[in-house]
Amino acid sequence: MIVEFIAILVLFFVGGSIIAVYSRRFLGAGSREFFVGGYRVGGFLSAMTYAATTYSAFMMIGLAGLTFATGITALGFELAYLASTLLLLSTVGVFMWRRARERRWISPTDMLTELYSSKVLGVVIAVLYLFALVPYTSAQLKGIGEIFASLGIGFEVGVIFAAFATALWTIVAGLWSVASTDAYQGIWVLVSSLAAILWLYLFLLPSNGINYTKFVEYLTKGQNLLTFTWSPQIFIGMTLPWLFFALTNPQVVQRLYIPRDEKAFRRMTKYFSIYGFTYTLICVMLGLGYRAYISGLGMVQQFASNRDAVAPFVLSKAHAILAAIVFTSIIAAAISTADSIVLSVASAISREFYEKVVASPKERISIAISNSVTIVMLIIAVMFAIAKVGYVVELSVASSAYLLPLAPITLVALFKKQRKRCWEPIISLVLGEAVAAYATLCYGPAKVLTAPMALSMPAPVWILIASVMPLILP
Amino acid sequence: MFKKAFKVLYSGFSLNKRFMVKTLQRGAKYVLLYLASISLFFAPMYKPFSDELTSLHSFLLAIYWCILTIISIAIGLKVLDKMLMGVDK
Repeated sequence: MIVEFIAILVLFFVGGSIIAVYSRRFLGAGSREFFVGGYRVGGFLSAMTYAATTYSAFMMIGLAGLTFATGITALGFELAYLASTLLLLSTVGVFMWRRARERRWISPTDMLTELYSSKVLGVVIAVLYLFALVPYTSAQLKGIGEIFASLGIGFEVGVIFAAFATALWTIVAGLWSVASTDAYQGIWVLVSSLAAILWLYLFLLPSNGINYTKFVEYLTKGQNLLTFTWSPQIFIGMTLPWLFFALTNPQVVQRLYIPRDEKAFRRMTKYFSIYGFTYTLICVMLGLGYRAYISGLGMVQQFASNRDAVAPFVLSKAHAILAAIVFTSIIAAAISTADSIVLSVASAISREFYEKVVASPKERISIAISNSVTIVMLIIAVMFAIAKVGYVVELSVASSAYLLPLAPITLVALFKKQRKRCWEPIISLVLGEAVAAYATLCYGPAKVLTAPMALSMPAPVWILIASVMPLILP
Repeated sequence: MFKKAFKVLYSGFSLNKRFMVKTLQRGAKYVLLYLASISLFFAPMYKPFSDELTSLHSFLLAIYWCILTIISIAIGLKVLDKMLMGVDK
């Protein structure tokens, strides 16, 4: 198994590196080329980078595990995110795309800095991105390390490999190498998840005597996993931050700037919706299949406290080559998310702390700063991952709560006819973050999304209310 | 030559302004559409509703969410066309 895995991984890495180096021929001069592809990326590439950036290793491991443990409700949670993203892309997204081209925005901080005429706001948001997204990146590296460890190769080797591939594919040609390797990884992820589901439903389950009747029986025996099993607080708390993911996370906001024309923007939205819907269904069906299989073995209790271990356990029963391809796809999903995050955060830092501070900034230096930030961010993420700091994964869960206050200020900035005063978004951010910090202190980072606060409402509801108030009060 | 350049610039500006005003008018409609679509995803939180769906067919709750998503995607793409057409006109 180790030999097959290493062979497939080498193939994957060499293929990705060739694509990254090849993409340099599209890279023009200047920071706009490096960070947003000169606003001339085609529809297919835009869609694939959007999808690969959005869907991380969480899907094949976390979502499948969540479905295994809690049932079909995980589908509602994930599809609500997809529907919301589609509706936002079709309305607010067009606004952002159009204005980004007119105003030559590079980073999401450019957008908010300009719309509120506040340089301080840009700096505050860039720091917030660092705080929220370094643990998220670290969690991606940690996931890859755990795959390596489960195969007996070594946790640290996995983390360092992931950080190296992320840095290389980001620095080679900026957005061009990130987007083209994202497309490559997105295809790898989708094809291998299709292969996994075909193997599970056409081979593993039937060979264990699990037909449709038995499948439904296993899923409905005891607790019915095919009905709504979450509490309303958990469903609202988990779903709410993801409804606004397209507006709050810089790595996806930046993707809205890149399509070259209306046709490319439409293609991006259409292909992303097809990809997202298909991939979500596959991951949820994998989770249900794992549950039926594990129930058949009578091992459900063994995975009760570690649901993320279910997918690797079941996939290890597959043929070594198939298992290696699927494990590599999980690595691909993690790298494609990590490289987009580091590029977008690096671009925000470079813009806010260099280009807008220096009188006549040089684009070459701006890119050098971005590359340095990329490397430093990855080194910190590697250190967190190797030290196995427990709260890193928990903080990465909480990152969506910490970024949530950005949704109201973005929407108000884009649609309010009368521009708000510059201190209002800062107060909005401070209040939202204060509620998030209070929830983290009271319930811990892992439960910040789901623990009921006042009126039995989860923290994300109060974060939204707190951050909306300063913007709507006269 | 300057007159021509000014005309081009002005036509670009007024085109953009018309687009913005039109879009803002549509804004309220889109907000309602968004709220209605997304609220339906939360309907199964009402236990009798989700239990009723599941009692009719084991996978009906999953089908319900899938159909809602497909409808939302269709609405989204239609709205997107309108938004982009607003730019073209």
